[in-house]
Amino acid sequence: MKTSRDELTIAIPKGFLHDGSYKYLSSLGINFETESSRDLLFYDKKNKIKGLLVRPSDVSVYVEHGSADLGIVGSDLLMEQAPDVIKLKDLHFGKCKLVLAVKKDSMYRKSEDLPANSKIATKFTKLANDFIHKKGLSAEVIKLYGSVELAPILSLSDAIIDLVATGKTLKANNLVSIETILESSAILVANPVAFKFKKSIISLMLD
Amino acid sequence: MKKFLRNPKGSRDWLPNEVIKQEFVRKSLVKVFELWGYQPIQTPILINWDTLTHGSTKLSDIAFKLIGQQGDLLALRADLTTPIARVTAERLKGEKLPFRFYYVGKVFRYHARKTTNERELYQVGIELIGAKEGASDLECLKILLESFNKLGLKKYLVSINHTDLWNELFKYFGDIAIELYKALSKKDFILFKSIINKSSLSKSEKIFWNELIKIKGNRGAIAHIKKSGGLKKRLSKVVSSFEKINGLFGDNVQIDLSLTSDLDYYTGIYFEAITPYVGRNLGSGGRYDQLINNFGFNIPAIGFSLCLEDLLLALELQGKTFEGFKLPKLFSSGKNIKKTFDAINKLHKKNKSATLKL
Repeated sequence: MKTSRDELTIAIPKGFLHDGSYKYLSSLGINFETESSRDLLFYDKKNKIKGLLVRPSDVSVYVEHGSADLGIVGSDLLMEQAPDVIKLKDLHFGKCKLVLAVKKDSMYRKSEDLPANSKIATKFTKLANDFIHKKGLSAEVIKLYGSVELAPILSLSDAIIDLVATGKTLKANNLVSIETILESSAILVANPVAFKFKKSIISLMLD
Repeated sequence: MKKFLRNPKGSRDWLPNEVIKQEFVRKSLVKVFELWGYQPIQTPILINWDTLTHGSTKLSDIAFKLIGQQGDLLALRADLTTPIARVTAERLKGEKLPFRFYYVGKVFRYHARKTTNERELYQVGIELIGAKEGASDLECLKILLESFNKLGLKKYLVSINHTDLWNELFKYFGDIAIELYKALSKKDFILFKSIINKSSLSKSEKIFWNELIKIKGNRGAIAHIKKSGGLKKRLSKVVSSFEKINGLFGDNVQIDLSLTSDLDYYTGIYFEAITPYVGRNLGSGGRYDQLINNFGFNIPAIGFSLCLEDLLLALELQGKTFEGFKLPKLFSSGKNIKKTFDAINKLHKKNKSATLKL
């Protein structure tokens, strides 16, 4: 439960978008003081802004329920989770691609080369299924929560659908990207109710 | 170990102390509705599938479907406006107009809300049937605001728009306006702006669209429509409707030109109510002059419905305390139980609760 209705709460993702999010907020004059690196809640007392540090896939959950007014989340996750939030602004950092990748020494050079009933390992099951459907492939999705690159090496799957920023991880695991499914960047999202009640302060962040 | 036979996903029990709170919300709203001359109406929970499909397609997408013993297709009602439209058309033709109805009832949806798992929720609302656009719109909004005041909800906002605004924008700008409306329905401002930037709209048209989602305040919204060049004349009806609403309700009702509607049967003003205590809207409403005609009675109507559970949640989060259950005075049954019952009845006549000590 929120104690003060005037303060603005922002959900900030750990991981890939974390540093960029801090840089973006700091460019707006928002600077959080943290007492310990284990803090999950922190404040910018001058601007009356509260920050929450959460897992990337939880940002939308906090914002959708109104526990956070704003959040920063990758457009890949927004498309995967389809939360009921306002997509306010493309922040143009944290760029990466969601790609279909296979083993370097495999014969597959495009998605249509994948054999019937092939298996695709991914964290992004909705986007993977949408892709399979759109391409008319006959493939099954295997949901993993991390280290997706292992799946083809251990023959758990024929291909993976995963995010790629530099391509180093793919290369290190002898994988090669054969198709780009979408390009992602960090998006500023807002709870629809908070957006109306805190319109003035939120619009300051947009310009 | 005994297996727990819990409720199915999305349903809940209401224990007495919770029902007391629920009753507070229900009684407060009913009081307002009755003072305004509204009468209660009830329709069945089990309905024919066809009834549902005569309403909004968006509702039939999320409704529970059932098969009857003879293979007839049934449904659980997903709203009350549609069944009330049906009963009005089928039973009340020729009666003196207007009808003022209120209802309190459960609705069933696979996804009652976008953010949570509820599948059955209480809806409380009114339908004002048989009165054209104009004063009846204002009556409906007035009752909505009085409902919140009666509940003691400290902070709320009603956002309002008019279907004519977007219909005229569709006619004037064509496909691009449809694309822009869709982007707003998806709450995707990034897409909204990119459609404008990529379009061949003139510079002033681009400004018109870009500002549409930025306007603050009712005066600003009305001024924005008046600025809309070639559209100005066609939007004069919308402007006069908005001016009346602003004159009467001021900032409690906020004109929002970018507001889209979840239901597809609105034909005039449509609105939604929000409070900062809850991250989703408390309810919505609007004018639906064609809906009852789908059931064979061409008659205008307007109404709104509120989610009882969310109203209660908002009151609790705002810190409202509810009166608890008053313990009844207890009487030992004694040797002569008739005498004890007489004593109990004596208190009952004074409207005081009393019962046996067991």
